[in-house]
Amino acid sequence: MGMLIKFGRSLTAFYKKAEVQFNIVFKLMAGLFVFGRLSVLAMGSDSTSKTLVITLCCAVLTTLVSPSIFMLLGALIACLYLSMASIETALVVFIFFFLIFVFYVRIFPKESLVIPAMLTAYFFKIPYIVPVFAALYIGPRAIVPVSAAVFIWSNTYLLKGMAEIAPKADFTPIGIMDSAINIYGYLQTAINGNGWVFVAIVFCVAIIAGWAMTNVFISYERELAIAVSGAIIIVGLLIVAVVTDAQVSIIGSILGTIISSAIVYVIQSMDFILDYGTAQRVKFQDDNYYYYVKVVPKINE
Amino acid sequence: MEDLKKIRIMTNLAIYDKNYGEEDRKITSHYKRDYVYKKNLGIRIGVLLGSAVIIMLYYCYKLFVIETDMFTVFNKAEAIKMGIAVVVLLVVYTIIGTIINGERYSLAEERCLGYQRMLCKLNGKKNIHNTNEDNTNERT
Repeated sequence: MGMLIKFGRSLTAFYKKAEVQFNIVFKLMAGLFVFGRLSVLAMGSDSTSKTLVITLCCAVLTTLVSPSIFMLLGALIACLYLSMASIETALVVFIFFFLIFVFYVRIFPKESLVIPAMLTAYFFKIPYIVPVFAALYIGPRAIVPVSAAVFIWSNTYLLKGMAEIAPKADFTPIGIMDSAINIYGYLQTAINGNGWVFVAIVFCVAIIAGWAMTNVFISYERELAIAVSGAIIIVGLLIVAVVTDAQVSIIGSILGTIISSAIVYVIQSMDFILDYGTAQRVKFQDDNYYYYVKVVPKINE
Repeated sequence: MEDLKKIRIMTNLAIYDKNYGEEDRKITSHYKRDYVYKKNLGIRIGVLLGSAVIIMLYYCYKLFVIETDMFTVFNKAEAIKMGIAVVVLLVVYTIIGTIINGERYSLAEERCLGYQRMLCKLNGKKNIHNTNEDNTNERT
């Protein structure tokens, strides 16, 4: 534990030397990654240079805007890419994102960042890291974004089918209702066929159980919370894999949960890095002097 | 060299200014009631728009998928049902918005009060109500 804290301190010191520059680089990398992944949705576009230009412009914009504007931009770009293949599909996705924005993102702007975080974790095959992390740091407010992310990830494959049902070449304003009915019929059978609901329930139970554990006044409550969340995810997903028709890999779930719990354990050991009040540099002056002060809080090991 | 106590106070003031100062000043520049009302108004407008979209989709489903008769769909009973659903949604989101924005305002106010107390300590005043003199501590 002492080594982890020492490592965390050196990392913080290194980061604080050029905090502004590091933040810009991290935001640019996040923008490139997210908008690069979104360019996969450009099914109807033959021009990779167009998607590359859009990706680069949006990545640069990411360094300048707030997190909620970044999410809005991501949603708009996703709809733009989809509209290259199918106008109706883009409209459906736009309505979905609009409802999420109006009913959740507006009220909980910071918690809604869990949605892109969870989708990124799904891409790296460790989606379990987000519910375990949320149990420690966010609590029950993460239930809605985690469930939304599970729904989005589990049903992204439907977009291709929807685009094939209503391709852009066949689009007419008069025929939009017929296309919508066909898309509805396709979605009705496809969405009912998978078990994303049960997976979302398991993650929500893990978040609540872990959060409840952090509110109990015992020793090592955070470590126990990680263990409890991880155990619930493993057991829950095993039950879901056996009882329902959800496509859940048992070995993948167990390994992924163990790895995710280990990562969250390392993060919570060094979590003073996340605390804005740690290792800051401030400048001020009075009538006689300029003060350049480095503030490093003490850690109780 | 100024005494260490003064430097500690000025450092804490600077840390607050850097991390919360701007946002807290924006929040506390309104009365709590006005701040919560303003935020809730935005939430209600958004919820109304969202409800309008859901109701439109619901009626499109009834008319074009189930192929219900138009006069069955557009009648007084349906309108009352939809109205009640929208009102319930607005009430729920108003309550959520009031709790969250009220909490946000209270935290900002508490931090600002702490900031004022530190300023008083720095200027050698006994309480925060005597802070009409100029503060000699300028922050960059």
